[in-house]
Amino acid sequence: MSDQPDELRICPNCGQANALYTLRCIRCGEELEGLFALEGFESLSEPAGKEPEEDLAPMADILASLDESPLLADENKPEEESLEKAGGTEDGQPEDGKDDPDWLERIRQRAKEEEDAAGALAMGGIALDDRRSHEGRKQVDEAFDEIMRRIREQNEREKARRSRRVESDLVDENGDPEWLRRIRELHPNREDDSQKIQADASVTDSLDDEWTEEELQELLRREIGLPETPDEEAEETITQEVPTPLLPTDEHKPSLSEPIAENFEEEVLQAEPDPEDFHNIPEDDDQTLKNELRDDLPSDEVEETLLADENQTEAALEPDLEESAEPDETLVNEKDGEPVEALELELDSEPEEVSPDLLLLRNQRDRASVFTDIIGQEGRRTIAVLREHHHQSKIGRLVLGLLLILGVILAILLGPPGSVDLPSPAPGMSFAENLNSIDPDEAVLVVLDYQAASRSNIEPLAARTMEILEEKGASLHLVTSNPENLWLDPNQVPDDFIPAGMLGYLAIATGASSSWGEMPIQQALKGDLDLFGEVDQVILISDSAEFVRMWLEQISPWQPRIKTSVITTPVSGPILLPYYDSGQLQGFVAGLADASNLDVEPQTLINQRAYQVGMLLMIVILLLGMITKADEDSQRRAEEQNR
Amino acid sequence: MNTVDLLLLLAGLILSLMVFSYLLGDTLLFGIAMYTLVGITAGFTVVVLLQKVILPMAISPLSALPQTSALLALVPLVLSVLLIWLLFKKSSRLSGIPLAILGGVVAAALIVGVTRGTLVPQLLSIVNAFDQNKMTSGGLPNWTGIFEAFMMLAGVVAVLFVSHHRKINKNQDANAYSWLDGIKGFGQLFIGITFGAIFVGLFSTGLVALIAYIQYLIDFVRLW
Repeated sequence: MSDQPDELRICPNCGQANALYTLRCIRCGEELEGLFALEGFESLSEPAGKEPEEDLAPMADILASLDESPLLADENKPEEESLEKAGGTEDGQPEDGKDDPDWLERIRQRAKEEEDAAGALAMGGIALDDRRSHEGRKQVDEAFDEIMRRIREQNEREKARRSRRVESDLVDENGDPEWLRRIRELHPNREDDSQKIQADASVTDSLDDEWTEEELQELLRREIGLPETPDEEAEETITQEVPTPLLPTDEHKPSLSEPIAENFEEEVLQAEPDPEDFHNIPEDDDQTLKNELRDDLPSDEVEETLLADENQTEAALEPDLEESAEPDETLVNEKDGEPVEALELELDSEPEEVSPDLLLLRNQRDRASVFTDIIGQEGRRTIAVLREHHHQSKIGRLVLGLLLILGVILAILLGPPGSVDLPSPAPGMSFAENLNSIDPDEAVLVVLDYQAASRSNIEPLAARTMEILEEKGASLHLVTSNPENLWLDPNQVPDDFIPAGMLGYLAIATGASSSWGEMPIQQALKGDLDLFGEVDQVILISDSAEFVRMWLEQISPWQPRIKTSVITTPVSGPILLPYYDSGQLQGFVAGLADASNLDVEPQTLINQRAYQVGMLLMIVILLLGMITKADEDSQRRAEEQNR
Repeated sequence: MNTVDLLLLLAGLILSLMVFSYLLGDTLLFGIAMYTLVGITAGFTVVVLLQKVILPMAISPLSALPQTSALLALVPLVLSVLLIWLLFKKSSRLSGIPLAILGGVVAAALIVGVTRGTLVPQLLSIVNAFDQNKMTSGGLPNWTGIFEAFMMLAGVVAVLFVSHHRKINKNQDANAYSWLDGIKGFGQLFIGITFGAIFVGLFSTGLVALIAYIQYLIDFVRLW
């Protein structure tokens, strides 16, 4: 802060108080006159105690000091300025300039006395400063904005390219990417250039993957017009001023500190003799055109392959229709709604030398057509329905059902019930052997878990098993966790209902008895609290292989001494076979076909003639379905080949 | 046959025909039959649960308060109330407590059960198939046992390879590993046989049920 408020300069135009060194009013911008008061060389603000300057400095020294003045000094020399300030501070002079140096007071005094000379001198300095500040800053700003704009554009292209890299990597049989083929179509006689572009594109891809400091320096050097092989000093400066974190991203825009900006100005001022490098208009020569195409077409392809991406999604969701994914590549070429042949003919009919402006227009037209397609697809279904509802399938289902019912009815009504002599499977034989090995004093736990729909397959076998066990005198205990089993078969009424399904069985099977008394789950048991305590055999009567598997996983490990066997449906038979092979199951009977193992003739349980007719009908239908499907596939392939 | 049995048979006939109407599509008659089945089952289940679970296990123990067993019976009761509260306020955090306990217990039981009840026994079964006692019979090779053991091992490896190779094919050239395709086809053969057996069992089960109910209807008609 100033100790001498009278040192402020009052603007004659608006009355704003300005700093002493201010050349223009900070409020209205009016040039402040009377700065160089050279008359007398005595500072008005000098304290009374101070001694005046002894000698009058010559004009050459004054001019030399003007060059060293921080006001008129080049703004691109912050280090010198800071050094001067530091020196001034060390000398005990104030930094804010309120305590004027002697030479400046002398200049002011002289300017007051010699108004014309001082004004001319001041005007020259101001004009020089204005010119340098305005033009230099403008050019620097333009160059910097141009650099940042190009970096942002390249970054956006890279983002789009990465998001669609899979699509953009579509190559033909020669290994050429799609965008390169399009360039070749546009430049039919410039194959060499295309190859070069391809090579450049690969280099560009690799460059785009990651920006290194050298690449950034090269880019800066090219943009601000520095020579290709700058000296070490310039390179070092650029390396310092443009660090890698300045990579253009939308979230983190690069911010230059003041020294960085000033060094940019310095670089641009050095490059001022070649101002053509700073214009925004692209070069209209072949190389620039190729570079533009190299940059534009892949991103263009990304937009175009949006449609192909949707088709690929449909194909992924509908694996049965693999052919639907094939038109993806043609879709890119048919973006204008024209067939591929027509597009190629159109390209072939064009003159060999296509003007760059025409190419750009075509590029724009392609983009417009892509946008038109995208807009036109709004509101349409982009993902194919997984299964189309055909009226034919409903009619076919009706015919099939009626045919099956008719065959079964005719087989029941006409002819004898028939007989069957099937070989006994190993699990069924093991089940019967295990059942016969039960001693009269053994306790058998029977667990019911089946639905009403499968009672035809299960209840005859269960009833026979109960009969055998009763004949042997074994003690039976029927439990269930399925409420339906409480009222399905009056002859198999469960003794206990175990809630919570498998978790309820697990809580009892763990056998943990609490010291504080009876657990709530134990109240489900009427008599003996230990459900598995005296049990030697467990027979699961279930239509679900999942229930059996859960029992073997949850209950059997806790009660390893208990033998387990199963009465189930034919559906569960194949799933339970591994557990029988591993010895976890003593055996199982699956459906009425295994009834012979329990000394029951299947024909007494169900009409075998109807069963055989139904199986025969299903076999015929399956064969016809396979033949029809194969015929349809062959016809489709033939049509595709013809197409 | 008394009147009640006759009425039950008639009701069964009508409901069976209503279910058969599904051949014509999802008709109103089929819907009535299904809703009747669901409604009766739900009502019966509620009665069973009230009689055998809620009253004896959740309410009755409270009469023994302040004994420890009665206090502990409050735990499932409180958790049940929190679950019921979920019906009225779905975003309630307190209602997540019983769900979290249930989910954690089920997950732990499943993991332990699968390991102890399926993975280890099945692996031991495959290993035991190569037991010398099973592969020899009377000092001579038991070719049946040897064939079964190797087929079991090959089936396991090939089926496991099917899913693994499916992922590989997405990223690599299909022609690069043609021998892997052979193993994949071998595994698909096992899977196809398994699915075929399951389909036959499913159709057989449905056919037996169909025959049984048609026989039931015919017997009912023959009564007249």
